[in-house]
Amino acid sequence: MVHYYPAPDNRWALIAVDLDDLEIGEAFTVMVVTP
Amino acid sequence: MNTGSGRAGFFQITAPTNTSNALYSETDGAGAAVYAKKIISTGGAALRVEAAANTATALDIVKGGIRVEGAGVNTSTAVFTHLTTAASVLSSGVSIIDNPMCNGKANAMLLVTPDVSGPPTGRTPSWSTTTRRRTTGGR
Repeated sequence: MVHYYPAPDNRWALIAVDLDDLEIGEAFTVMVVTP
Repeated sequence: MNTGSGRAGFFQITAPTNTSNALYSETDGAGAAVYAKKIISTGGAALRVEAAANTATALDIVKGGIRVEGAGVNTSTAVFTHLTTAASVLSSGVSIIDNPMCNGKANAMLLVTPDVSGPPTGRTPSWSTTTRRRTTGGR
């Protein structure tokens, strides 16, 4: 899943479905589309 | 070249039965057949296409794929690789995507898919098969 954290962060974040299931070194392909 | 206002060029076919392309260019060289570039203004797109209707095709690739030049780990490109690091993972299950292509863009849409083929060249996968299968992004 993705989630946007508004100001002051102003960042998108990747959130694993299982919160214990995201490790350092994992790779994800991200494509950004704006309306 | 137009140093004032208005278009620099205009091509039009007014006959609906004419199936020819209004503009056609080709080259035998290594350069692109068509290259659209904006020089100064960062507003608007370098290339815009508009179909006759919402459901009509706006872009048709007759042959070949799509390339995003320079795309890689956290590059400022339309497509990039997000690699979870000690700095990006702030809490359990949350990894911040710090990239200028989406920073500050709350209305952006992110298409995310796990790269299960492994991280980019030179890195060793740190996950187990079980962990990799259960991790999901982009929904």
